[in-house]
Amino acid sequence: MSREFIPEDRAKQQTHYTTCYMCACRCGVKVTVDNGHVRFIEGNRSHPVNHGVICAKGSAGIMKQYSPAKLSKPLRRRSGSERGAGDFVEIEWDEALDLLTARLAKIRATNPTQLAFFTGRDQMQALSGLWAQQFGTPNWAAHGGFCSVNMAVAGLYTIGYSFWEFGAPDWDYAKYFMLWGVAEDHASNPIKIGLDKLKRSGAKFVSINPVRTGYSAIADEWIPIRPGTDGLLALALVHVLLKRGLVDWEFLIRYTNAPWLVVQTPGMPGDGLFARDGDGNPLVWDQDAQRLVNGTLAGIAPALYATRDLPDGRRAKTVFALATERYLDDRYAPETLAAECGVPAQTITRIALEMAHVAFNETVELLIPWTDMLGRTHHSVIGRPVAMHAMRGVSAHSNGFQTCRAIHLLQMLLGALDGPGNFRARTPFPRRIPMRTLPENDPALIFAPNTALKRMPNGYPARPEDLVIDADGRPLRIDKAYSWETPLSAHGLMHMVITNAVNRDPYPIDTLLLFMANMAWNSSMNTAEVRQMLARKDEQGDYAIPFLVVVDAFDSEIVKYADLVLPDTTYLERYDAISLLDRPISEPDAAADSIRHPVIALDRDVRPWQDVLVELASRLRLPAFSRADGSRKFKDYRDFIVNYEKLPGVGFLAGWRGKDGDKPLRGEPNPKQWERYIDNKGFFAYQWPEHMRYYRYANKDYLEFAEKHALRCRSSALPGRGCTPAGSRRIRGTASVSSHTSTRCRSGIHRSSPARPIAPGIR
Amino acid sequence: MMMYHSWDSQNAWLRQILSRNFLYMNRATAGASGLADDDWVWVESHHGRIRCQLKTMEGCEPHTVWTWNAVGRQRGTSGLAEDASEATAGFLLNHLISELLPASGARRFTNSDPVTGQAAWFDLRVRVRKCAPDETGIQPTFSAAKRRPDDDGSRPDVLHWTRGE
Repeated sequence: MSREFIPEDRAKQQTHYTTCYMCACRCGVKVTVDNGHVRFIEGNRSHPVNHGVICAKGSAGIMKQYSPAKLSKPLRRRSGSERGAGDFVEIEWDEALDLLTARLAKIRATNPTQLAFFTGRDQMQALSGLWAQQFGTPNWAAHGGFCSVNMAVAGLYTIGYSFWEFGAPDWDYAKYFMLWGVAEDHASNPIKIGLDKLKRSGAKFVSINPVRTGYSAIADEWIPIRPGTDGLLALALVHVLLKRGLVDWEFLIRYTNAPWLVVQTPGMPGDGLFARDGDGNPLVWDQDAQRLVNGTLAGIAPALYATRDLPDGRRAKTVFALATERYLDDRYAPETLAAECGVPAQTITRIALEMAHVAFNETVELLIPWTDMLGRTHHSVIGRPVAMHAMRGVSAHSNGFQTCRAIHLLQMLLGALDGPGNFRARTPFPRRIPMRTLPENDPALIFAPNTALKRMPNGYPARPEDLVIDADGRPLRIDKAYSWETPLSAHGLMHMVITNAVNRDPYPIDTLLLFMANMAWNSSMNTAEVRQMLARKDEQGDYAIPFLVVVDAFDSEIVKYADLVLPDTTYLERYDAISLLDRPISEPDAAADSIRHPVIALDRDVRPWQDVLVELASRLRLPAFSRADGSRKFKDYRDFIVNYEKLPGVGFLAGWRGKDGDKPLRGEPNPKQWERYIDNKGFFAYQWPEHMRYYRYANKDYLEFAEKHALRCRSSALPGRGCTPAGSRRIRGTASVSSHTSTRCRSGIHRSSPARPIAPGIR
Repeated sequence: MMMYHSWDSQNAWLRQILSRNFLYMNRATAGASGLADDDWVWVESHHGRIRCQLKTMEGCEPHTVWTWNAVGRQRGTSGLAEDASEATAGFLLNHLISELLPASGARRFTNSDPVTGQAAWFDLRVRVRKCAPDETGIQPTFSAAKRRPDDDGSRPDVLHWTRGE
């Protein structure tokens, strides 16, 4: 049985650096190719995401390449066969593209909303979203609605960045790490590397999760919480911190809207909105001047606790006064919530005190001078080294948005955001709060034939006027996103598309285009009935969803329901841009993006979906993809990535811009950009200098740099917007902590251990 | 997590780690309910019921049951042999979860977070009952999918991987 050992001829092998796609992490991988076949896959040691670490899934990418499930030819449902029977005929690409182009052109020329385009584990949402916008349909989203939009929206509306891709725990300095709920694949190797660091440094790792699998297995403390009660637990922790005064008062005054006044007119218009001056600036009560002032100005002393009458006679209270009133209530006492959460009251109190101890007594100080938004320099950065992470576990509940907000409130009270040892932001985050991107909601544009939308289909509403509804309040989107039913549905509701389309609620559609989403199986709720809906016919014998296009590299249950199957390539066979315009791979200390490029040749009749999208856009003469004479602007996806500019000098890839490749982040297109990425092992990283690494919601140098390089909107607010981003606030922390708290505090709050000053230089 | 986000290819190496799922339950809770490892159970929600097999564990909150997503497959899909354990023993919880909440007046609202539209996968309450002795096998099942014309039907029991091949 012994087998002769034949050493491999390394000279005949090639190595290529590209990006993994076995989960959502996007680690750098090194692929060894032998005679045109994948020999093995290792981690890329220089890659900012995984530093060479690779997991079982990543190295098993070989078997993805050689899977029997690969699709290999465009397919059309056989004429006369029933949808779902899986009776297909093979067709050529020309026929497939002609057929689809004709259908899409007709939809676009009549009513573009008749196309619904939804994508699953799409790592190129910036392209698919642009395509939908240019086509003119609002009915586009990726899978975030059934994934973790709660985590994303709560973060972006609360702190300007969010868990998973838009932030990361600071594994190097954290001394206390709380992992809320299941998060194993978001991210995978980076969290493993991070937990290893925590174990080595002696930090405490607390896992709050009904099930002790995955990372929870190595937690120092596992808290088996009852599902869906994480928000209550977070607020019980808030209760303990408030009750004992274990709060970073100066952080709240300087960097949050805690001192802003909120109108209190229950049952009347305006109740619960910020009190603003005539120019839309938020009002605070200045303790020194003893009057209402613009809360964004320098040289003021905002009261954290205040109840004041506004000039028009309305009563207003500070945000913090309202929060304190609510969360000091016995409703949020550990003793009250213990049974609901399944966590003993003593445990809740102890965890709160442990966090506070680490935040305020084990503070990290780094001697890094930096400048805040007021232009004042500080000689060091101070970190309250408590870090948190959360993902699907807390998200996938009907209370997940509020749960994530509560977790962010907890971090704010501790002053534990984007400092050393905290949950830190990853470029292009933090963004303004709320973000300045609004979803398209103009019915005249949405229903206009042959017209691109002006805004993207998805965005971040801030006012009722931003909702995507008609004059009667009815949803304008097939998934009813941004309607009163789910107003901040920033990732759409892919899980509702089939049901709504079949129910013609709010309207029927013609074509449903699905990319990489198994909606006839595990990605749908109510799977058995959804399958019936996909095959449902009306009284005339026509399918309720007349045409279903499925794009995927692999066979699955949804493929069986397709009228047209467009086979995609694997991740080792194509170009991809993992873009800062999309779902970036930045790390807290570096802006970063990366690519994939073909490391093995195609052996079957499939095409990269990105190329097909560019091809369809060119055939349909979508404006961003066409010249004035209607001819195509881009040869293919590779060409598109190099030459498309979202803004002057801003494209999908940020590295080696400028015609000579010497301009990082912003610069004119570089025809050799792909080659430069390949030469650099598949990624680009722009390291932040030390003084731009922390407190980036308030870090003057970072914010100015980010605006200049279009990593963040400029300061000017949108017309009609009065919101003031935290980053541009002008609040001077002249008064001491005690002068705020001792004079304004409500009874029942103990201030025996006020937070230490954040940075002596501020005072 | 071994298959999570990697389901599409039904990866031969990852399938060796896990090729079917169970319903997982706290061991003490199971014992108090007369349930034990490998029992067939009915899992019932407001929306429907499924039949699957149980495993008990200690690292689970007493009132929680869970399973791995998307391990179960429809017979004849995903390049798997028709008797693959993913199709014969694997199952989905999705059948128990409705995309619409129970009717409230004339309307049915989405089973989602009312602010963001996030699908509320994890809010489901279920009852777990031991099956009768003659009740075995997963439910529901679906008929085998037809083979695609571009699929040569090869379903190797062993997928060899050697260099240059």
